[in-house]
Amino acid sequence: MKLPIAAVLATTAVTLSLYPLIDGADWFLAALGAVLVVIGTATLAGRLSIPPALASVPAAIALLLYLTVTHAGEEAWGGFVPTTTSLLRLAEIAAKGFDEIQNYPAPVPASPGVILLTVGGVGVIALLVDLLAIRLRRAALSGLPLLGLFTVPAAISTAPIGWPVFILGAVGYVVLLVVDGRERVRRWGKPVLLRRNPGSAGPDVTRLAVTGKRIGVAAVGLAVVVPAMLPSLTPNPIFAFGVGEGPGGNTVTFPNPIASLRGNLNLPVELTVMTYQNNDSIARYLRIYSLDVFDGTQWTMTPPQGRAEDRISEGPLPPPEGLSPDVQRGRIDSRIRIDERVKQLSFLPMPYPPTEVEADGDWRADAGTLMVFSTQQEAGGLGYRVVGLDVRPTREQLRAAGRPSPALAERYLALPPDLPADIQEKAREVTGAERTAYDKAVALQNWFTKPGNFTYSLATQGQSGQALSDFVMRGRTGYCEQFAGAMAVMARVLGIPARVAVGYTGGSFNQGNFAVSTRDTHAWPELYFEGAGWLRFEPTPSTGQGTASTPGYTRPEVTGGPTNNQSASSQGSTDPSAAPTPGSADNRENRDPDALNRPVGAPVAVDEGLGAWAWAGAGVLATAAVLLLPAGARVAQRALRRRRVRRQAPGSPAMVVTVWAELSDTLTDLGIPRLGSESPRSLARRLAERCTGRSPAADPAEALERIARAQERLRYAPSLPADLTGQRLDADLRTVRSALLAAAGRAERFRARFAPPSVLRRLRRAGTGLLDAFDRLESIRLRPRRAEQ
Amino acid sequence: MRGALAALTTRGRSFLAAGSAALLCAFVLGEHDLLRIAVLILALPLLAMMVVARTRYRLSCARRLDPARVEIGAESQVTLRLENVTRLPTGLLLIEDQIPFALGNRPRFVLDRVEARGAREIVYRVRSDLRGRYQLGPLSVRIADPFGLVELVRAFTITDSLTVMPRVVALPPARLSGEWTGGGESRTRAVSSAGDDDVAPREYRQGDDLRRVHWRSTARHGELMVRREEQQRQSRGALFLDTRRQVHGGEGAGSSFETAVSAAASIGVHLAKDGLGLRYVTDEGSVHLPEQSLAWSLLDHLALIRQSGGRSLDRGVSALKEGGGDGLIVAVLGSLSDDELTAFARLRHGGITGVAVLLDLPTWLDLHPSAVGPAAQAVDRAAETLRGAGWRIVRLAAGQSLSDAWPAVAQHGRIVA
Repeated sequence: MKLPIAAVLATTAVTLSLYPLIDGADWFLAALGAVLVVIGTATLAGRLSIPPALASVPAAIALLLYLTVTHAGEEAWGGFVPTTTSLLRLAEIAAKGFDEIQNYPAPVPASPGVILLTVGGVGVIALLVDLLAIRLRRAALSGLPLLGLFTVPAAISTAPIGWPVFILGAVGYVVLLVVDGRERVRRWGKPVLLRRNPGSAGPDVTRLAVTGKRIGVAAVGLAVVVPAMLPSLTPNPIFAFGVGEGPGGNTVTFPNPIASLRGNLNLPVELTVMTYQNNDSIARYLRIYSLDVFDGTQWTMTPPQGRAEDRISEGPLPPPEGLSPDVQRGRIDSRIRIDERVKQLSFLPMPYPPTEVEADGDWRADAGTLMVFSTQQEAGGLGYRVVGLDVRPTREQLRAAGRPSPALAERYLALPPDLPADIQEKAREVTGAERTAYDKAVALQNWFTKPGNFTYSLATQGQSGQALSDFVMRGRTGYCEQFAGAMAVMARVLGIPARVAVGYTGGSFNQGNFAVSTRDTHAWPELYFEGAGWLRFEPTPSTGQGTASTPGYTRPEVTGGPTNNQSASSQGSTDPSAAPTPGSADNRENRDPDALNRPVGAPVAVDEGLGAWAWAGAGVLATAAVLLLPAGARVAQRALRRRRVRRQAPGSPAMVVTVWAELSDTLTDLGIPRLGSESPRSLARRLAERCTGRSPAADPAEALERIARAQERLRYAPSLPADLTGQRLDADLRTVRSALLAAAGRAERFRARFAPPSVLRRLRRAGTGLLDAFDRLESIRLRPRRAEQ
Repeated sequence: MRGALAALTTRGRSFLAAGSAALLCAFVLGEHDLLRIAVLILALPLLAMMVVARTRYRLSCARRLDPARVEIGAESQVTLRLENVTRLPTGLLLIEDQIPFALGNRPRFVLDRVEARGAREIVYRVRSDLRGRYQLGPLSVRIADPFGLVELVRAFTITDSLTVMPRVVALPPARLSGEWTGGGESRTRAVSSAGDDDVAPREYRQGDDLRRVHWRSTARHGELMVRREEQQRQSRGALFLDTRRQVHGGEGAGSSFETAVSAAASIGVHLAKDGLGLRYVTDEGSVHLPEQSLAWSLLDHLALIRQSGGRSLDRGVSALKEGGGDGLIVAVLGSLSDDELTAFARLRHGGITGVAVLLDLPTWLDLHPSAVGPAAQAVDRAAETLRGAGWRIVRLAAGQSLSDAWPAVAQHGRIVA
């Protein structure tokens, strides 16, 4: 095979690893075209008498022409000669593609911009591979650009790249190395193809086949098998690539939640986003995103970390943050189905806090926020089951909540240094009289929802630095985004950890199902109380958001009996136009006060995982087990033989064979040499002499004599002597063994027990056999051998 | 294992380093994909090392030269036979025979996998335009892997030598009168002298036949003595070659010295074929050559001869004189000074036939046109001087074949009045 063909194969094989990032297969064909164009041009140019490295210049030009033809043909002169307009057009498409890559989770749709970026990138990689492997003849170095290409999907997608794709890429690189090696060897000297075998009559001509099959096959095999045997590695958060937006690769990409929120609310048509049903038929907010960073203008999200052990298929989700066992909770079991028309949603909407999620595919939970997301799949059309908790803290518990942990406070109390002072003053003013965090939070919510204080309007376009200030101090007009954001900021000002949740309100009940539409898109603050965890608050006046409801723990204490046992079905008829008055907002919370006093269900299983010490201990144990394997094998073999002797007919030849084999192994273990010329009888005499005086146990001479005589008879006579028939000899064997062991030195005894040479010798033989088999890998033939002349 | 580690090429070491770094990064960053790449990159050199280490002691090698002596410019065929003596196939073998650069480029061959108990024969040819004895080998075998990650160099110890002899031209038969007029005694007398103590034994020299040891004289002298009467049986002659640097001109293969060596070789072989017992003398004295296969030993000697730095011809002249009993002196001479000519001319006396192969030295020298005349005259004068002393003169110019000039020996020299 020629080097350029190998270079094309290697680049193409590694390009395949981009499959999890881009939809469809068009991009692959286009990239293949770029690889062919680049390496083909470089190969043709290499035939000219120019310095080899210069052949890359025409190849680069060819790549530009290729991109122009495929993406900016109309603007180009004659369809392929780049002009300023066509170049600008290319830049524009590329910029658009860049935006799309930033804003969509993988796999991104194969838009022209994305394809242009992919093809251009692969073309540059091919250019580098060609330059290094063919022009400069440094094939090994061409692994670096290939590795660079391979790193892209490895860095972006959290899940490991599938092994078939890895094998393809690795084989591509190995083939490139082999072809380069063959070329190098050919340059080194003349291949000798004539072989003269002592056996064969005539000379036998073969092709030079520097294949490196056994090394290549074994290396690729090891590369797949060895990591598979190790516990799966999880990206280390400290070093994880990329945070949030901006170039540098994201752990997961997602559209700006706030932007999509407003987009959904502004949709002219109301579309059903999902339907769900749960065990108690109570509408609950379905959270999608949890925004924890406030930059002064808007709330954004730290990219979630999906560790492999937080796969939802691995079992229960991590325990909810800050929820102590004292708090009463109920179990909610929801079945949710996302509408197929929903696109680019790689987070699963669900009530907070979830404890278990059952969904097809690789969905992972972020340990802190319990957002469930996937880097590979979309939620559109997905049906899944969520088991969650209905947390019912009492007011006393909330009032008694302690300080949050420093780590949590650092993350959820952070505020931009340039936060307007008037907002801080306002926050204190509104909550001035309250003592506890909980009471302050309730006061804050009441201030937002108090009729007349604020006006709900979707028309607000607040994204400037003053937006928050405008909303709180002056305009007091906004929609859920402003309300949620403002309350979260003010809660942080008051020292209550807060974040903004984006998702849907509970929707409307319709024919046994809750239906959630685009109009139910919502944002709300979640505040943290040590012991109760994250609790939802609702500052948005329900005049605006029809299905919004204030949670029970924020409402004034109910002194009477059950006041509202409103059925869920009645809520189903609710629609935004028929929104109840703020005063009746209490009724909208479908929480039975009695439920607060119901006994807690089964305690939540908490997955602690294995600590570092446990892993270390397991490692030590595993090493010890491996070291003791030969000893174990020997023990097992002895037990097996003993059982066989018992089962075999006493005095039968088979039994004698077994006994003799065991004796031989015992001698090997103790390092007692056996002479080839020694008869069984003389061996027995020698062993008996060896034991004399040194062995405190019973004198083994008689036992040895019996065994030797049996073996002698087996060898030289048709039948055993009369006094031996009917004897099993296993007792004799044991006598001999213990006598020999007692007579042996301490070191020999230790070796015989823990590293028995008889087993080790067999292991060595097996190892040699394995190596021979490895050598035979070389003779694997992909094609049938040619007929020999 | 340490040997195998040292066998790693730069590429192999880079792979090992890159693989280790990738492994470390994979664990620190927790990237599963990187782990696979690390294992792949680490496994390649390690497996290659294992393969190479196992191939190490599996070869036997033999070299055959055919012929082992060649004339200048002739080819010799070298056959290498490599045998895999184990029951497993070898890996990739890069074979290089170490030969002096005078014999051409080092022959390099690639053997891909010699099967179990298999053998390969490699044939290459060597030729040289320079006389000498050349050492072929030792053969070095690089056991390599197809990826160029490991290369283990192993050299066999056996070497062979190739002798490149001066060119020998066949000389036309020309009667050298006095060829048989040497001082050899009659056979009958020689035989009868077996019991005679005055047999004039000489000391034993290497190459003498042990059967000719004269034990009685040995006992008397205390060292091994041989009878010399049998030497006298045949006609004897002396071959003289002036190897002094100062009397020769020209460079390398086209120098007058090479022509002189070739002429001496041709004449020596010619005379030895005729059965003449030949003594070989240079300006540095007499050189003993074993008498069996005289022609071969002379050629072997001439293959290795180098120009001497000596200034005077005295030792050569006295060696010629000492020998005595020569019926024929053939001298290959460069440009001699007048004194040397006179001394040399005097060597011929009585019935001795003297043949001087006189190199026409100016034709080898790149002289200024004005200097050509006097130089040619000097050669003419030398020829005249020798001829005057009764020498037969064969003049040899650059580019002229000795076989063309040789017939001139048939003419008797005349004493010029």
